[in-house]
Amino acid sequence: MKRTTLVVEQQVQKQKLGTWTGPDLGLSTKSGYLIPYGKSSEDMEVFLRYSNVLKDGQFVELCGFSIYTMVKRATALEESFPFNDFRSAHPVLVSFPPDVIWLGREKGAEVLNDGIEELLPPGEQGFEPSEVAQIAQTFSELARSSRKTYGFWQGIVQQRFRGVKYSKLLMEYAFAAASRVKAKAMTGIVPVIDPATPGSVSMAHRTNLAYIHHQNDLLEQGASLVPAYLYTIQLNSGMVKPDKWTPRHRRILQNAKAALQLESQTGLDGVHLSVRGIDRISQRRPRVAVLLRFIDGLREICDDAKLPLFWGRSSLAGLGGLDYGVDYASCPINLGGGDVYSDGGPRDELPKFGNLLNVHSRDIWNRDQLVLASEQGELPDLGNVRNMPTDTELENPHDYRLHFSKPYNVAGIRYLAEDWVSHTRGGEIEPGREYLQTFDGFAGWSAH
Amino acid sequence: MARLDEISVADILGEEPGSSNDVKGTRSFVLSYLRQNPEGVNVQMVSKFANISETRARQILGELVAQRELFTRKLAGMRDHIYYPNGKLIHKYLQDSRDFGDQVFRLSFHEGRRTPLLQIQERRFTLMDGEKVEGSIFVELGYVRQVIQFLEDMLTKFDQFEETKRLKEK
Repeated sequence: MKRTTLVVEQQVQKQKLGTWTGPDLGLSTKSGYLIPYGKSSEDMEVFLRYSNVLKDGQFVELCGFSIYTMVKRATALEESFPFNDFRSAHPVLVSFPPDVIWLGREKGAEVLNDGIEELLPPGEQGFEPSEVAQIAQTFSELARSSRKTYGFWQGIVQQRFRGVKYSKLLMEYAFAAASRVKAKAMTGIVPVIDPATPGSVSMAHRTNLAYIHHQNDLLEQGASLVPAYLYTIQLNSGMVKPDKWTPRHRRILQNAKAALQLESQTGLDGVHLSVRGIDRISQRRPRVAVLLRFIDGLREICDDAKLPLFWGRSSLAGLGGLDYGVDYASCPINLGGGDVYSDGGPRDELPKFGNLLNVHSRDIWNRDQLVLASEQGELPDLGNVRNMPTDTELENPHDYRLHFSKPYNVAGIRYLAEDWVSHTRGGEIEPGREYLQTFDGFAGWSAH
Repeated sequence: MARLDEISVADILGEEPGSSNDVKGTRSFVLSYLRQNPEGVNVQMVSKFANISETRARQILGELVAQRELFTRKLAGMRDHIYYPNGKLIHKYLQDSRDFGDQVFRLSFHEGRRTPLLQIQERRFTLMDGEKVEGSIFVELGYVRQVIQFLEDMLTKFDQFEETKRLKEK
């Protein structure tokens, strides 16, 4: 017996509007929506300070590897902006981007280490804090030493700490991170699927099945705070080559279908897709065509199971995904579609100010472009948020991002989400692709 | 190292799926041990069984007592306390929890010595600690409706008190 159901209330070809409900989880959320994605403590602060800009009752997706630092920031702001008020109004989805383990960059290894140290509950496992630190270090070392290989995954199933497999400890960590923010839904930490390693398809599937078993066990034991688990598919960009549909794509779809058809599927409530390199893919129609075919396959599987399909960190391309039956697509509030953790920030001053979404001119601006354009007129007024930065903000990248560009981008994401819903209600076919076709960088989504 | 496609679900979990020797936390492990020994155990027995220090065993037992999973008695002539399990959950579906602001109440039905018991467990969610058990009470099944009536009576009393206070202020 699964814990949630997606009820479709209106369908226009493949695009759907509905409600995802799960009384046990206290979940009832409208589907067919572009949602914001937060990756850092700064993004968490934006959500808390400017929660009035977010759509009430709608999901926010948070990067699981950053939960420990988000919690610290939220705790510091607790008196003025209570986290409980925020999570009551906005259900949280926690997901884990693949670049941390796949790329094994220094920054990624650091967040993996620190997150495990902070969140892996020593009390539950009977570990001392020093032992948890040892576990965290082993994980981060494995990530560093197996860049762009699957050595990390082979290592964690081979090694044990006081009798417990590292692979099991990684699952415990993922659940601890999701529980810490009382997430309603979560993904697993699973291997990214790469065309150069065919075994990655089955490894990703079996890791998902392990999460489902673990989830069932938790529910069986009467654990509270068990979020809905989403079958997690993470594709490397090489899986989306121009017009290249392979048996591997079919295999991934078959695996997802088999998981959703498991007899005892209490611990599985949907599918979550993420694709590395979406910015490059979005520029070429033959690549977008392969991605859409894959999304369409997942849509059919999810429709049959009456469960939702999420597309995480899809950037604005998520609007095109919604056209093809994705139920929730998320867009990072810095508008980046690339990897989450990179080593070192930008050295030049301008990139530190980040990106700004102009929903009307269908453009993404940097600070200088904004200043230039503001001489001709203001940015669109999106309500609940300022559409011009202050002079101080124009001089200070942190203030500019925190108090101007990111809240404005959140408002822009909401505007596009509501616009898509309104066009779909009106019976319009593929409004997302229609919007994207004249958006710089998304030419591949053009329908014609 | 194993080839990726040779790694099974059981390899990942470190066990056979669904097997009874599931890798659980020490706390769950201690609780299972207590439930297998309803005649009671002491700190030394737990320490030996779970292969943990006596300090750690005492800490876990104390936490489980605070959560009302266990109760403790000091028997005459014995140096140490003896710990006993409270009734075990009757069925996983007879357990549910709901949020009320920061407070979370978990209700569950447990086997009792004479009659089933309703456990009302209070939990609290904080960002720093996540969800923690604050404490709990047990109500014998036969008295549950009377306790509900008692709660309603007290609420009526409170409303009357507030009303009287308002009238006096006018």
